[in-house]
Amino acid sequence: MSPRLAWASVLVAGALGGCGTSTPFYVEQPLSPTKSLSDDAELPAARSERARPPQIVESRLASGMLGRVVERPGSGLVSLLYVSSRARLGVEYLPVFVGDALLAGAYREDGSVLYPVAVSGQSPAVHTGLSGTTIGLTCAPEQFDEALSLLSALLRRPAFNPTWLAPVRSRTPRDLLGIRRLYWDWYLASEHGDQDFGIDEESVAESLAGLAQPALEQARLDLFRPEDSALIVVGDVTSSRALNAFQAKFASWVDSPPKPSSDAHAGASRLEAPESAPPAKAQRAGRKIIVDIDQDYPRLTLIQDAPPLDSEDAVAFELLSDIVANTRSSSLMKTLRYKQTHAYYVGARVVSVPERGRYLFVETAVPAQTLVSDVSAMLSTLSELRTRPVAADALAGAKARYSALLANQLSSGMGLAHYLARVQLHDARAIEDIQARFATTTPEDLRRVAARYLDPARATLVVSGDVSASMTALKALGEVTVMTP
Amino acid sequence: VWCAGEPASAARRVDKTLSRRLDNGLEVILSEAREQPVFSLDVRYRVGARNDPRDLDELAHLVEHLSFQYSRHIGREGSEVSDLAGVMTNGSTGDDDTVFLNSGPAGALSRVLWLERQRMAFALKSFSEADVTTERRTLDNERSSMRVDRLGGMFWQFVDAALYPADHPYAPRPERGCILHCELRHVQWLMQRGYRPDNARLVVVGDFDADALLKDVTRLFGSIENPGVRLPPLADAPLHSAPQRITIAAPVVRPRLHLFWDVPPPLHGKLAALYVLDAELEQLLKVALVDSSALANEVDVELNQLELGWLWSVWVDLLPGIDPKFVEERVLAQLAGLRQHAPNIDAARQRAITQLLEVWDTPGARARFLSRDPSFGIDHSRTIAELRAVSAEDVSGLARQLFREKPALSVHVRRAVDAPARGELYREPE
Repeated sequence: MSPRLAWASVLVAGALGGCGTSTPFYVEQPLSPTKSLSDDAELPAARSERARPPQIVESRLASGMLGRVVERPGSGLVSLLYVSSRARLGVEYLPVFVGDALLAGAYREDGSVLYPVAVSGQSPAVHTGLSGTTIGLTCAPEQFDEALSLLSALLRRPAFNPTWLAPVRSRTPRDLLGIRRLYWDWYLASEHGDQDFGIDEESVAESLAGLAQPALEQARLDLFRPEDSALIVVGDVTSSRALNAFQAKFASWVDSPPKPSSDAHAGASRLEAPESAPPAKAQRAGRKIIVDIDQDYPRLTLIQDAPPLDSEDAVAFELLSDIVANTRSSSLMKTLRYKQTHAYYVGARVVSVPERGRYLFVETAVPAQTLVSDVSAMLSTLSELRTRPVAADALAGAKARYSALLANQLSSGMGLAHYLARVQLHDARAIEDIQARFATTTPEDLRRVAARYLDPARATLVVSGDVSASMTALKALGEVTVMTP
Repeated sequence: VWCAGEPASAARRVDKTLSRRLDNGLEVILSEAREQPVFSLDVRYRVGARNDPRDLDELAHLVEHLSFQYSRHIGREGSEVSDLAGVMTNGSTGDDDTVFLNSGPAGALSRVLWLERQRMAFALKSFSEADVTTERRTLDNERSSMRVDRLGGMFWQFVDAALYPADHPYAPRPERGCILHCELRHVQWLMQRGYRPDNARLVVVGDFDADALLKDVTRLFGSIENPGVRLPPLADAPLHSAPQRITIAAPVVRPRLHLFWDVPPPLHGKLAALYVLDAELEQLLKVALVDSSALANEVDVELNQLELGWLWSVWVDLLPGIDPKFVEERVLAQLAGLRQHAPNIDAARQRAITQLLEVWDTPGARARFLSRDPSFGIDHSRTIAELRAVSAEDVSGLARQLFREKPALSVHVRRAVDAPARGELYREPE
């Protein structure tokens, strides 16, 4: 879709051109265009719906690699999604780079070269995140075998051709120029947890620039192993055909030999991180405010702890975060839009950060002039949630919204594949499990998790933007640290 | 009632799609997608930035904000009513139109239809001067925060100013006119003329019976009358007649190249071939600029079906240090080759079909697609047949007509660390 058409709420106007002819703002009376329409004010009832769990057929190879298939006959499409839980963004950047480098050519089973790595001109989408790596491709059913062969080739016989690697080095959307942004969530989590974590972009860039084919191949063997892998297939293909093909392509993929002690890439892209395990989260005495003066319009992120995904509190906390932000009637939206009268969005997300924990990030944008009063209003709103029970209808709305979001994701082939991948990567609960927990979560559960996890007195606030005029007032709210660019 | 439901393959479930224009002019499209109990509902009004008066830029955007927030019968609680039903809502304003988007559980569809009826029939009466003041501030916040993306907020300003003469409806207006000066009467003026049934298209995709839903939609929306006043006619102005060339210096991370061509109206009827040409050209440029020569990170080819003139654009995200001018020559050389021969026609056809099916497979994306232009894709099995029938000669013939002249606009975005965040504009003589 065109960027100019795409969600052009970003409507802006230029400094060019003068005023044209004045427009007569005639308004026809009566105002309503519905002269004969009765004022029917009766609101129709609404009911929540449960997402329909897909029928999954699965098979595990002797190597431990899992194949999962969901049939969607007649969609005319097949989505393939490879999942690795080992190759994830941690204290090393290397998995991101190796994942992208897999697209620098591969060898087919017959030894011929595969480049560009694509089916009908479409390259697989590689994404390496905090939970793992996914490599996805959607194609026509008749291209299923070709697409599966392609995935097998790039995972098992990548070329890492130096020439083809050149664009990969720069093309990766999470390239070295954006490494700070790549690690932004990690950085925020570390700051909130008082756990030191630094990024030395230059040394990472240098070490990656020097990574030769043998080192990349060794890294591939270490990171992409069948025991930590799954293949998800969703679409217009029978499960028996898909699983047979999966067997044929991956049954002979066995664990790579153990990593040699003097491996070629040791430390090659390691970031500055403590050698030992990170310390337990400190129970900070007060509030922490980090000011990032990099941008010119203030954006605000408020961070709180979140319960682990396998905790009893996890589902209630997700629902609570939805009630805190994310909707037009959420607590913080009401505060910032109608009381403070300017915020146009407030978003909340729960982020899993390996080796750190899970965190709630609440994000918004506010004018510099009102920053301090906005922050105060946000903190007060969160405090109230700790003591004031959530209304039953608000909880029902949050449940309905989550169920609908889930069902929406399951209604397309690649969306369904990605949800199953998230479950595989322990980034989401199984569909049946989350729905069962929705059914039993009560307003009291939300009040309990709010009291336990929302702690404005020990929140971390990150303010990006030109807020020099507010510095004194910010210091009154907590300990201020200015980020060095 | 027009019906399309031919399955894409033999085993496909038959999902019906209905299209109808109600007596009051409202266009209705209902498309079943019954796999999950959800719906996506878009209402698109043909009123947008092009209708902003010269001295009140973003008036259409302000009206979108207001009508998104308030309703006559339930006031500001309208948002709460849909939130509590588990419905996600949003609104957007473009050059041509304003869209209200809803998605949620199928069990909440009746409520959302009721709320959209409120918006179309009753919202106008619910605004006050105080509401306008609040939303002016919100708009200012949104506008300012969108601008932090290094040039992002300004790019289309520069492009539109270069593409369109000052009296063209798409030409940029003086900034912040509405944010500073809008009053209730301005909002009422635009809303009364733009938010009317004969200026709207309502599209629902999801888990419902299309025949039954059509009755509900007709009952709810069929009695809404159109006001006696209409939007003023838009100026009929062409693009700048001579090719334009601009350079933008900005503290961007990577340089970029954007090329735009006008798509002559006679070619608008060849949409299937245009889609295949899009896939073919993107593939050619990706191999030439990304895979083989390491000049670029990414290439994107777009067909922008704007109501007042279609644009064909090529966007290239370059590697650091690469000269956009050099890459432009490479692009033009590829186009010259494409005018003679389309080498990847099979792959391009398949890619175009896969892309269409992916859109059709996702209720939200299908609703967006159908609400923008239902003429292509509403009968998606026929559309796929049309795509399959596109030949290599069709594609190269189209390329000969489209790319016979220099681009209407060539934009080079160069990295300049000391330039202002919003960028500095240079015009180059042609």
